[in-house]
Amino acid sequence: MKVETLGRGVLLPGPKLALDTSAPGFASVVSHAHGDHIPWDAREAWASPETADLLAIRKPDLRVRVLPWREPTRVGAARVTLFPAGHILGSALTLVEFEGSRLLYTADTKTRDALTTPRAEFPEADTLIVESTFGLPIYHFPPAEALRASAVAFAKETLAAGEVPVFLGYALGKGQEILAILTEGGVPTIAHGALGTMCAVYERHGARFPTTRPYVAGDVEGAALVVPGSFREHPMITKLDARIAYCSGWAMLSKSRVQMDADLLLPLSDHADYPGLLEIVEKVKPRKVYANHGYADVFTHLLRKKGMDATPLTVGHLDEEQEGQARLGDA
Amino acid sequence: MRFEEVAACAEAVGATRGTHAKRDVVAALLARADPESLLHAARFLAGSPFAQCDKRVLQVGWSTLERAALNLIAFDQETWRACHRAVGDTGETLALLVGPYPPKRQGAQRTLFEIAAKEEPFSVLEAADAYARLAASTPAARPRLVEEAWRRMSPVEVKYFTKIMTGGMRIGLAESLVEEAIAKAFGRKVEDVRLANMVSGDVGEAAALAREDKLGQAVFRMFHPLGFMLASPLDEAPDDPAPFVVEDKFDGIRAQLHATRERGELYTRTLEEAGEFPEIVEAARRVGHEIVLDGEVLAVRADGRAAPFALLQRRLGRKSVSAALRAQVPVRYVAYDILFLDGEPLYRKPLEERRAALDSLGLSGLLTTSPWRHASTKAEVDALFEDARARGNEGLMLKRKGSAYDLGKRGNQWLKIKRPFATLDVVVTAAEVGHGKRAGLLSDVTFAVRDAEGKLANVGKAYTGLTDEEIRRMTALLKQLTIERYASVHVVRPEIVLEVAFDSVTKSARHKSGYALRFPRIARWRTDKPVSEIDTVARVEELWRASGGAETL
Repeated sequence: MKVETLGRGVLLPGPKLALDTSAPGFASVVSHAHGDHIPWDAREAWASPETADLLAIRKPDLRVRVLPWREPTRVGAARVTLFPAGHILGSALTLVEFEGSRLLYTADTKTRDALTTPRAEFPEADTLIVESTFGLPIYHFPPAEALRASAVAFAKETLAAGEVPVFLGYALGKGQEILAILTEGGVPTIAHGALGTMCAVYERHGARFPTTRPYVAGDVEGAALVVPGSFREHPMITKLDARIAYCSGWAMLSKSRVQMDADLLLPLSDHADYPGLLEIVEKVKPRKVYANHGYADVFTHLLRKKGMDATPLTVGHLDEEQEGQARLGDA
Repeated sequence: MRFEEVAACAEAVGATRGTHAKRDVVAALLARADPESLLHAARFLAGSPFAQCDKRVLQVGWSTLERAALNLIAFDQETWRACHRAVGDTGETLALLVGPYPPKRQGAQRTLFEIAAKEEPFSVLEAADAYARLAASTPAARPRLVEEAWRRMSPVEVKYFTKIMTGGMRIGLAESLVEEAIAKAFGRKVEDVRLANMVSGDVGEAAALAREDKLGQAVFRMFHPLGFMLASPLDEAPDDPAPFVVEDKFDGIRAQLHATRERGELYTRTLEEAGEFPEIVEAARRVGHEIVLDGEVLAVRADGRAAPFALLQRRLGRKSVSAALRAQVPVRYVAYDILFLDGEPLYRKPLEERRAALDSLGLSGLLTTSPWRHASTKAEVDALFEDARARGNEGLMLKRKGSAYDLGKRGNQWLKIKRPFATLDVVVTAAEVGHGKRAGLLSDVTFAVRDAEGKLANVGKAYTGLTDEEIRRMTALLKQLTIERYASVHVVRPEIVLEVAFDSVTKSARHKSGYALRFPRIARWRTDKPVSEIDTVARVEELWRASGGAETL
């Protein structure tokens, strides 16, 4: 199946599908509701039920047609089936069947268990378009249980010391996952307003945040504060006696400690790490792999060394640092 | 002591915020180290494989490390380099690549050796021994030695064993903090530890002496630099200059001259050796005593007056100095203090006694002594200031009578009167990613003034002057302002106005403005000033004339 890129998304000229982008005469399918995947110029798009709810907030003018989970649906000339991608609420892997060939587009995905998103399910396909945000071997994340335990321990220690534990995580996905981890660990939480709106959608789809209260200026007693990373330098944080936990795949590297001025680097990511990406390739059993985002060049180089047919997809892509920065709050 | 304990300590220091907490982590380790390991552990935590006074150099460069790394890790060069670029630190990259993935196998015999070796933890003494063997080995043997050491280690050990080799721990642990940790570990005074370290040139020995409560017995070793005594700036002459002796302030290179009959070395303020002035070192060996002098290297004109610093600069940064260059840029050493004479420490003695010892050397030729002058009124000091300027010197030094030489300290015993120099308001045009603690931050900025046609003309580059917090804020802003990128250089929309300070202006072909600033540093981030109000090339030219008008050299 012919594959082209457009912006940060993918075009399939055969079945005339636009994945996480839009083009005249193409049907758009949205993998999940993060800003860099929403087709901002589109008027109509297909998405999972949860993503449809999130899009109603993030892009109210988009007419969303719901694709039920795991049910093949005719979209234009192709059959399209969504499977859980494990990235954030509603995130989907898109399986496209067209003229007897199967293509799987992962968009953003992770292979590990999480508290607020169902585990990803990888169907087999002939062609795989896999993300490669963390496609370098240095990105080998610690086990999820260990990360959760250290998040809870950090929050409890900080509270015991009379200071405010602050967790930096983006507003849709990471924020709710941190809230859930802390809730499970018995730590009351305060959600910044940017997270709150999204929490409501999570709750509508079954998540519960019983010990979470909305952020009110001046009231940070006895709870962990969860805010988007962009608030790191905001007076609401800098004025506190706070200890900062930076929750992101980029927290694997110690240079992020200085960049985010963090006390705890917690590589809790919503993306697959390098072994996770290899696991995806193994499960999908593709004849052809395309990689996009992040370290597509090196990741496909590593796949080719394993004897696979692999090509980087990102054309004129951002360099590593820009990519890192663009996604600093989003990984 | 196991090397892993030192590595784990370094890791914990890196993850700890606050200097007191860092100090306590280090103190706990040093307190439980056995005497032999303590010597090395203190050096390692200070980021160095050997004592500072030790002449040995590891000579482990990038190519050695890369060859060793590619033998060890299960990935090829392209992958290794991409990982290294992302991480920005060799030790950390290796730790991330040997932790989760099995290392490359190297034949059956080797594998057996590895299994045997793995059971025996790598000790601090073995690490010291590995560095010693590296320093003594041939270039061809080095990658193998490095690799063999790595294969005995856990990832965290690999990380810090490598960081010590590459000379940067990057965990926010300055040597001064190691000194504080030593003091805390053994209940000694920080001042005593610092002095013992400075005198002996070995933080390890300072730790060992602190443990034995024998800090006063630190023995001075020549050929490692001592901390310079520094002067506090004074805007104008004091009303009562009687308690001071007066000397010219020279615009050269401050340098400590160590010499015996057999050997001589010059050390600059950055405590590095300056090899560019062999004739001074040769002259010092002919003095016939063991001496440590404090003074200044100056370029001299035919009439004996001091030449502008720009002339001296032609001698800097050269591996070898030709006879022609020596003739073109003649230099001399003006001594103004003596710290040691024939093994006897003089730095605690009063100024006058040190001067007498200095005079007793009878320096002549390329080595001279800075004359003492006396003033009893403010007006007399002002007159001396004008005389000093007429001699091509920068200003005056006032040194308190009867004062000791405070190694490595800035105080009010020495005062300097300089002509105050202007600052420039400039705009940032480009920025580059910094290194070390500033990796990932756009800390190195290029800046411009406006030319006659209103176009921007670069005039310099600065690395320092901002706080970490300001650098982070500026990095975020610079990223938004980025128009173009060439490798690590961001070309930005000119919107950030800075006030830069500097020591003088010289002509330079390097910058579009035709001028360059000496020692530029950021004085202030002028968020209050619009870009339209930055200074002009004409203003730079004025300042160039004011600072002596040295032509391009």
